[in-house]
Amino acid sequence: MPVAGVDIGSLSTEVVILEKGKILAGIIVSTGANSKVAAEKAMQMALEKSGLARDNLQYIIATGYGRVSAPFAHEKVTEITCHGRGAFSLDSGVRTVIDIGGQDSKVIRLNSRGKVVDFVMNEKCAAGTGRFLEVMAHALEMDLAEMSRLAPLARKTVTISSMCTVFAESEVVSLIAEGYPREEIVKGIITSIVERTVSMANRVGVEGTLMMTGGVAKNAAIVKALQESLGIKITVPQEPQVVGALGAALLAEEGLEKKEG
Amino acid sequence: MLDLIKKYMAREKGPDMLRRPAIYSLGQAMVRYNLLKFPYRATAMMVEYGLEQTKKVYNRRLPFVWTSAFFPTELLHAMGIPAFSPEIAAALAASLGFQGNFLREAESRWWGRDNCSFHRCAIGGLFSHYYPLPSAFCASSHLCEGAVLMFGSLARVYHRPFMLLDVPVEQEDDSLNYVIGQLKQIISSLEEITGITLQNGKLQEAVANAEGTRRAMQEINELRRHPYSPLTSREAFSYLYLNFTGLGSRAMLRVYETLARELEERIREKKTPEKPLRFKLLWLHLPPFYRNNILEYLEEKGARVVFEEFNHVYWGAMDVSRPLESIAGRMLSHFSYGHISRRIEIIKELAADYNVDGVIHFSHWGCRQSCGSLRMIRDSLQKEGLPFLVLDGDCIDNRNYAPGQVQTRIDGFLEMLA
Ligand SMILES: Nc1ncnc2c1ncn2[C@@H]1O[C@H](COP(=O)(O)OP(=O)(O)OP(=O)(O)O)[C@@H](O)[C@H]1O
Ligand code: SF4
Ligand SMILES: [Mg+2]
Repeated sequence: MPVAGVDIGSLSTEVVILEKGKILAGIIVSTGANSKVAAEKAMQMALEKSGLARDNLQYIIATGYGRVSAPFAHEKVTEITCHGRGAFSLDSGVRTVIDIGGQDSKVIRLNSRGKVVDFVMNEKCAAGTGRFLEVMAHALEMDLAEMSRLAPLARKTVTISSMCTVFAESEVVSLIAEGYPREEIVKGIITSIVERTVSMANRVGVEGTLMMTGGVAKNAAIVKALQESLGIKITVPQEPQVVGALGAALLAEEGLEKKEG
Repeated sequence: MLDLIKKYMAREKGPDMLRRPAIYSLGQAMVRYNLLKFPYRATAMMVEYGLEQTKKVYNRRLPFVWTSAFFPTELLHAMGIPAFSPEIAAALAASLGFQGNFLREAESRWWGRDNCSFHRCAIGGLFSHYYPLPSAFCASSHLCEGAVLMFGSLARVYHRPFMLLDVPVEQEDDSLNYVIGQLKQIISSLEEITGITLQNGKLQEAVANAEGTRRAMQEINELRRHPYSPLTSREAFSYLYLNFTGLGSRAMLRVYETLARELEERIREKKTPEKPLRFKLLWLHLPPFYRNNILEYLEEKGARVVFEEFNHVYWGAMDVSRPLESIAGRMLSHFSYGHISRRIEIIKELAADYNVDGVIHFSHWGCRQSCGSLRMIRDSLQKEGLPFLVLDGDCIDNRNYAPGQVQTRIDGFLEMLA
């Protein structure tokens, strides 16, 4: 009995189709201006990949900020629960999950059964999130991959003092104008995100295996800096961006079992 | 009625309207002739009383004072001096959607946005002549230091007397006498400023009212533990006005006694909440007062705030034969004042009494006293296995209110409780 999880985030939308715990398809598309259109598109692609028709899906759970207006969902569950569930399914030693997406970052604590026992989320703005990174990369006229590549080359860090994305951007622009090496500015940007994330992690307390999910987990420089700052190893799954959708799909399977009793 | 006021405010008539006592008489008449709907008879009584008091403060011939949230209003009721609570005025402005103008007015006069918005809003209301200028500013030092600074500053700006009741943090042998001494001083200053003398027996009467109110509140709080208790948290929060300004008045006593009877009746008739409760919650600090659906959203999801920290009766029985001592004792016994362990113990006690599944702290921007020790509260609750959610926000200023983000936090919290 195939089921699906849909994670409609501010920047990316994922669909995972699952049957008896086995992943039949995992799709990532960008959300764009219309989250419903993105969800439809990702779903269509996932169905094609798994060779299924819409009617074959027995249960669908939507998550992410777009969950409230998700088409086709039987149930809506927050990213908090879904990322927790997804991460735990990949490694049952996980007790702490850091999810940094496009506009939200959160730290989730799990107990030994994988149940969420505490969480904190960033406050109301893009500071310390993927979007922040993208804006800064744009100001530096480079892409995220180049940012990742440059960071280790820095011998010093330039401090970025503004938390606000808009101010930080103009700060970066003036740092470039003042002639600071780009890798040092990159390091400064990374440090500012890492500091924010670490203080959130400390709020809930880091325990057990720490897994990072969400698109920013693909940013090797951030993961490395976070690791150094927290002093523990961070596990990054093969495809961190779909963990929320995977969690939603797993919850859909459980939901289906319950429904069928 | 609200629509009426809003319409007038929308035209330029607004400020003038508010300052015209006639509008309050009109409101009173509407309440009296049942033209307005209230969930409880007690609520209607409170509104009528509130309108009466407001009418008095806008009557330019009568003396009245501004009081901070925790100032002992028994003194004022004993003397018949109306109290104007800037925090309540701000909450009311927010609920009517007027707070924006007031906040901007205060900000344009250099009252920074990191000041508590209850105060920023009230200052803006005063500066722009919506709120009445009092005969004196009366603050107590415990809990809210923001009020002390604001009142002191306004008193200097407007050349009005500033009265400060200094409530010591550490309780020592002579703390009680120290507070009593000040209460006496405040009474004589008030007599001097207003020309009203405190009549014999009036203080005892006010304390008797306060004591009756205390018992009625306890009764209500007890009734709210009943599974069929119909009182929603939104309704409970609407009585904030009395908690801030009414203690010592006959009116507050009557309102709370009526509410207790009504609750008892409805519980007996089993007018139950239709939806079965999934979770019971305890609310710490206050909710937002501008248009928001946080408490309603919780109800919709089957989670009810069954009790609020601010409704806890923290003070012991008041002795009518020793009125000043009783009032001073009440001041000294606030559980949120002094060592944080006091507040934590009460929170744990309330959580147990109301058998809650989780605790929500609404962290109002700029309020040091309520947000200063979240870490310790969280750790203690976690030890008890009680899930704890901190909602960051603002009770008055809605410029940063993002319903979607609040909803995600609430949803995540409820999923955690499930
Ligand atoms: N290949 C990559 N390398 C580095 N960073 C990446 C890569 N792909 C995505 N990201 C980062 O991930 C971010 C988007 O993360 P994600 O897709 O998890 O966000 P989202 O779920 O849409 O957002 P939210 O959960 O906040 O609503 C981008 O802003 C970008 O910084
Ligand atoms: S919210 Fe806090 S700072 Fe503001 S009036 Fe109340 S006690 Fe004072
Ligand atoms: Mg996401």
